Amino acid sequence: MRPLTTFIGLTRVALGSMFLFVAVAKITQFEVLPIGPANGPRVFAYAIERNGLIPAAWSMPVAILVIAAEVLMGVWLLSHRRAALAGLGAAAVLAAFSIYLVFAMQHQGAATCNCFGTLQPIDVRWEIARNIGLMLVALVVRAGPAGRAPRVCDRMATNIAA
Amino acid sequence: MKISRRAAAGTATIILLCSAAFGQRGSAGESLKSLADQYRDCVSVEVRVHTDEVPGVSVRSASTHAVLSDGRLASSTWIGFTGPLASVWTTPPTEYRYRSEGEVIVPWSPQTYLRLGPEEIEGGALEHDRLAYLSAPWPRIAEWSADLEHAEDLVFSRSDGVYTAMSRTLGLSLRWEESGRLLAAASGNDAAWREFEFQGLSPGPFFPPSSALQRLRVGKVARPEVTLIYDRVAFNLADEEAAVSSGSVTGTLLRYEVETGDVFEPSGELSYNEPELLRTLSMKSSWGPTWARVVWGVAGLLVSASVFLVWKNHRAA
Repeated sequence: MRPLTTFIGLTRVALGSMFLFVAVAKITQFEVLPIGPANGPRVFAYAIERNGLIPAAWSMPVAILVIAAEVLMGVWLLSHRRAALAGLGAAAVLAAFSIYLVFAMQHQGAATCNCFGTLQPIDVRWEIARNIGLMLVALVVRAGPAGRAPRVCDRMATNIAA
Repeated sequence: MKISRRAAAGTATIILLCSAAFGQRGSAGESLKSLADQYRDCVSVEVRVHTDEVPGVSVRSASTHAVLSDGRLASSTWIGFTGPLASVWTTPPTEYRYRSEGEVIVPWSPQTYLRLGPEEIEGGALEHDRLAYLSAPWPRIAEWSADLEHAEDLVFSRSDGVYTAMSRTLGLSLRWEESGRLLAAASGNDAAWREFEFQGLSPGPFFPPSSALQRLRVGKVARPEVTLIYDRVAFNLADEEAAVSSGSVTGTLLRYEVETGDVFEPSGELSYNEPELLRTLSMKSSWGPTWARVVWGVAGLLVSASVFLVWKNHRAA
């Protein structure tokens, strides 16, 4: 069982790292947009605005919410606490992103993801396929042992509590 | 009257040279006219081109140009720098056009289009920049041929059915086949000279190419040749068919201070400082500014801690 547990743990780390990576990539990105030079969430908000599904006034709050959700998801997965629930949460978040992309695609024939902090358009089918792949990884995490934190975490949590 | 043999030879030489010169100009004029005839009906063209990555240089680019025969140009260019972070792309307005010193036009529209033309900008004419049209020169060929025909310093040559006409004062050179197919167009001066050699020419009207070889010389330095792939070449499109319609493209005139590199909005508000912007962009291709490095560092620490937990758990089990 031990190698499997370790494998699931590493998968969780990979998925958590991915969520953290995409969030940090969005926070640290810098682009010269038609509206002028912009950085961080403003670039992501511009991508959301361009997709035209959400009112322009909401694009910035939505951008911040999405980035916050990615940071929280990443930290949660990396913490290994309530791992099964974290895996389920990650799959749900990825499913939501995919549905958004499908609607954006239907809305104006093309969608800008900015998922990894870039405005370069990628074929939306690839984006959705990538999300499905990540959802499978999330389900592997979900199927991991018992949804409990590793023993070391338990000990650390106990120590902190003490 | 007795004419010396030397004087007679001199006169004959002068007559021969003059007739050769007039003959060359006549031949050049006819050839340039026949070239112009092939492209006279070309009113507009829209091309989409992309360049593949140049080996050893981490730059990718793609652009769209719409050129009209009266010299209006709508152009958009994307250039990306790839660095250690593969996802990093930048979309700077890569081609500034100076109307006069202290002024710069930058793209301002959702499509990042830049439109140039004498009648587009209020307050004065914008000098035509032939380099801007070189990747899609066909609507301009008739006019350029006429310019060359009347150029005082026209240099015309013919070799194996290929004609070349060049004028240094116009900063223009055209090369074409006897059939009227444009093979290459070049423009510039001693400081910078750019040539597009068209390849894979179709037989159809205006001979659209499938690719072009771009040669750029700055001073005495020749840059690596770049191949442009034409994804689309569409002639004489109606506005509603073209991606760049007359209504969808706007430009704005910003004030650019040459000394400091500051770019100001029409309202007078500072928009950005160009050298600083370029520094930021170049930093972005590696690690970004200090605060960004700190954020990446924290993320790295979290991941390391997580891996450590898995390892500890693995050992404890």
